[in-house]
Amino acid sequence: METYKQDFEWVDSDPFFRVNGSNIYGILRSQRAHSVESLVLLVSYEQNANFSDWRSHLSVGVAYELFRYFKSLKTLSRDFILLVTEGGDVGVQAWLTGYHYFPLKPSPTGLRYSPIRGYAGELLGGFSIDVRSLLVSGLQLSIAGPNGIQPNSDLLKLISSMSEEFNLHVSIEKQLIHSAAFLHEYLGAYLPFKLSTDFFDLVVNMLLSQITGLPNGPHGPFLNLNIPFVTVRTLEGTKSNGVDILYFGRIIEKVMRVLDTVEEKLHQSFFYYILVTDKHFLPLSLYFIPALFFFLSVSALSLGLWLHCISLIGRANPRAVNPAGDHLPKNLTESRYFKPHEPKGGLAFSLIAGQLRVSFFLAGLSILLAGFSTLLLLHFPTSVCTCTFASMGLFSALVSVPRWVFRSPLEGNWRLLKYLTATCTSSVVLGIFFLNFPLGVMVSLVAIPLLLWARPLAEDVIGNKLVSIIFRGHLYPLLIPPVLITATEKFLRRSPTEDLSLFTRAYYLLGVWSLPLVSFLLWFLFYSSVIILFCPRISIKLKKVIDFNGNNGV
Amino acid sequence: MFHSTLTTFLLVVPLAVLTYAFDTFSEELLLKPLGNDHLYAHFQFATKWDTDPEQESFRHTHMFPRALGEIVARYNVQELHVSLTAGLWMYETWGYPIMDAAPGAELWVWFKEDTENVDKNWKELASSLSGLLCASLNFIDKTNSINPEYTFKPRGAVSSPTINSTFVRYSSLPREIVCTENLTPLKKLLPCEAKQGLGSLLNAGHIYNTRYHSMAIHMRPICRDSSCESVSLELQQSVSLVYDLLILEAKHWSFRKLFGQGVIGRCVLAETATIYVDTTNNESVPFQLKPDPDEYVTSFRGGYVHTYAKYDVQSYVMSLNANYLGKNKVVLNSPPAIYANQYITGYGQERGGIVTTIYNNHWSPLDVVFLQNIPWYVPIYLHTLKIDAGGVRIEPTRIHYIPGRQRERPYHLEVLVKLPARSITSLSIDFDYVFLKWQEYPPDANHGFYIGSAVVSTILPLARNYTGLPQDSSTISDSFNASRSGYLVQMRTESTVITLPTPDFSMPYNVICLACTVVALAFGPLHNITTKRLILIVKDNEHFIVKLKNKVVGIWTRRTSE
Repeated sequence: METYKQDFEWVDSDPFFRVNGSNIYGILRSQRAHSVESLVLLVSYEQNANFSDWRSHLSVGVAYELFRYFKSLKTLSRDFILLVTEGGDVGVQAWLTGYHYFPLKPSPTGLRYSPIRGYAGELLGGFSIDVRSLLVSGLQLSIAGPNGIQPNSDLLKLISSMSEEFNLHVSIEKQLIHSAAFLHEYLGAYLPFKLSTDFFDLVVNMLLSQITGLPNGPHGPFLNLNIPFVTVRTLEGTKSNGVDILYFGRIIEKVMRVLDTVEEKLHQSFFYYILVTDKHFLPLSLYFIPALFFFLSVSALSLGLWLHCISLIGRANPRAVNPAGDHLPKNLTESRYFKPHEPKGGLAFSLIAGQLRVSFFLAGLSILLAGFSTLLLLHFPTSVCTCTFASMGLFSALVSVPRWVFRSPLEGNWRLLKYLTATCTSSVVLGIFFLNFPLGVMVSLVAIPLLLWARPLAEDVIGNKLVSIIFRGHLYPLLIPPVLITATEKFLRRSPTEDLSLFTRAYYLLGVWSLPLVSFLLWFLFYSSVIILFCPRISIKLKKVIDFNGNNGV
Repeated sequence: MFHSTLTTFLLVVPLAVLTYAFDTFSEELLLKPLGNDHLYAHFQFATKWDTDPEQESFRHTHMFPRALGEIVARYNVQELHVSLTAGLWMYETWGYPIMDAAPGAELWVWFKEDTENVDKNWKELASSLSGLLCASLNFIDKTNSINPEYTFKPRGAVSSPTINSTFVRYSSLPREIVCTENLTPLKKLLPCEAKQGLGSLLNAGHIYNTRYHSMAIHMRPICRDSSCESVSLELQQSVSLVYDLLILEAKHWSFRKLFGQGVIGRCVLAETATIYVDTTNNESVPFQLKPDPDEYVTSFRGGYVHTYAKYDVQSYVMSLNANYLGKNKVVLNSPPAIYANQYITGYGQERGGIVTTIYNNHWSPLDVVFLQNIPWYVPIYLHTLKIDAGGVRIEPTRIHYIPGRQRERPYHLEVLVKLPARSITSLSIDFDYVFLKWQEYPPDANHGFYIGSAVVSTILPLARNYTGLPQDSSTISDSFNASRSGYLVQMRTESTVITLPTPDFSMPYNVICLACTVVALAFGPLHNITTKRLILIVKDNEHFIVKLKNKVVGIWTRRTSE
């Protein structure tokens, strides 16, 4: 086997995060092909591995033995690369960067690495293995990649089916929420049925991991380059429930050999999916239908507002409305369109009530699904999940839209302002859905009710014209970037004292942050233009409204 | 009647024998251990025919294969070089092969200067060779062929003092898979085929159990003597194999292990039939040959000494064994003076780059010619060409660049550059990924598209790791003690595969299914609405029996009225 070494260094502005190390890799050339494609077996050697503990070296040993076996095979049609990295994700990223020859600009901080000398063509995919015991009770797959990218689902199914032959259970790592035990604890006693915690855990974890866009293993940098990759961890077993580590080796060997013989690379677009069970997944084609409901709810709102704006423009013509020549109706309260609507309990209650309605609906739906889990999830897990999302989308579309459109007390320019806001929201929501479905769901669930129940406050209530415009409920999307950034950073911190290195920020958070930051920029531009265009007219109109009504505010 | 026929026969046959041009055939096998765990076996079959290629019609041939001769004559070929190779020659660890060949199929041809339509002849020649060798050479046409300016000069004798590169064509098919169906026609071109001589060792079941195998045919005119007043026609057929001793599961090798059998006698048509075993490293990796060689040959070439055990192939079944003795000493690998790698850079499906890294281990600068034939669907940008050695930008001595044209011709890049001494030089050029028309994708579209290997040519001042044949000779024995002022090396890099943006080919099927379903569902109601009339029927409250009775009566009355 040809063996090569690569040195690397990550120079951070904070000396605490400086990482340096070496990657060692060997290339096993196939006897038949001419080094145009290769498969990778990755062992991410822990930076702070305990050298006296043999478990730290077990993964390297297993990988080495596997390659000793592969060397005896005559029929390999692709090169095999055994890559042992250190320094966590930095080492993996350094190797990949070197392999794909990104020219680096000289910088005092950042990634530095020595060039790669041995090449084996295009990287088709592979595994990262993490073995911690000689007895294995099951396999755990880590699949979350950066920015919501996940490995090709064929790869997961392949591992799952191969493991079944040896009666090894395959589970998906639940990184963010480890258990829905609280449901059992608080609700289990009052419910006549058993909750399906696995399903709930898995779906919620899949959604959260895609929202945060954080990889949960050394496979992350590979997925970033669209190379199907997955981390396989062994679960420690006992003599009663475990099998010998030999079986784990046989599973990996089988999967590698299957990948070696497949003529085409794994190419179906099933890299963006939601796993419902370890064998069932919700593909893009299914979950995009509920996504459309979310989008349509905002679009319908926008359309309704547009129609009203047109009708108001017609009514704004004094001759058409009042032949006597008055520019405005004598009593605005008599107008069908300008009829003031005072929400019961005031604005705050209105907002909370809307949110509570959504929350109760979702909670009820979850309990319903969990209740029938034994029947439904066993046979129709994918359908259940699709129905859940579709119901959420329909709820937001049906419950709220007519209420706002027909009962709003807003005057024409405000209506126009809200129309533009709704249009902008719908386009951003659609864009987010295309990029990241779970993030789209989250943004929709927050943005749509807020948009529907938001109403203007009078200038004199707030006291300042600019502040009143800002707080009129239209700038809520500005909250999304800081919330997301704080959330992702919180998830990334493994301990409260741990801070984020520049590497993590540069390589992983860029994608997570880019979307909110772009939406922030869009909103900023939009509101700047709206304020410049409409502010004088809005204040004049408001003044008139206040005068005619004889009270302060709408 | 019988007497007259006999007289004619007795007169004509000696006359034909006397007028028939003289031809010779020689066959050789070189076995050379490569490090501790590989063995290189090179078969060299050379036919030399003292006939004028300009005048020869190839209607009557003796040992020269007529099938090939007719093709050569028909398409006005002056020189022909074709190779079919699987596997990758590892220059860094194995040194230089006797004959370089690119992975897959490679064809380069010089046409005679009176050829009217070179492109037409080139296409038809490739198709004919495709039939002759059972290879997919028929895919070679002007869309993937170039005429190199500097890299491929004529290897044989030329009549004109100037060389016009418009008569040379080069193409490669890196995806071509080489197998038994290619070996069988090659064996049939040998005078004794595989029935006798070294050709009998070419058993497909064994020679494809190797890490690298390459078969090649080289035809050229050569000078008949030193004065070069008359020329002869030379045909070299070669088979190169690299065995992985770990695959053979034993360090000791024998003809039976390597080829499945011994040599079945000597080819009676062969003037010489010799087996050489390189014993240069016998001190570090000692092995004992059985039977003992007929003699040992020492070759001084380019400042390096090689020793070979020589065996003359006998007329009886002959075998050869090598038994390794004791523990091996570690053989330090001394890489050759120059070698190269090629790889693709970047990721995604928008932009990428091709990088060729050339390692110059020689103590003095070397002039190299770099040739790249890039398919038209990988558009490169010349302004992105960067040559640097250790961070220092190097200006090329000369660039010959012919931009490609979509679906018409490939990108042809030839760069002359001086490599600094003991340097690692990288040539990189950027390209775009393009969308093809949907019918231009192969059936396995997601396998990827191949870019052929680059050819790096240079003249080495020393013959370290060099086993190539001198340009003026055709046999392995001619290469012994053949020191020259320079040694031509033409290395082939790895071919590479890229993934072009590939559409989802199942989508049209899905759309067709969906559209047909919708049409089928819509057709029924639409047909009903447009062809039937809606009539208001008065609802009656008659009893079922009364209704039945009325119906029967109605039928009865209709029949009676008819």
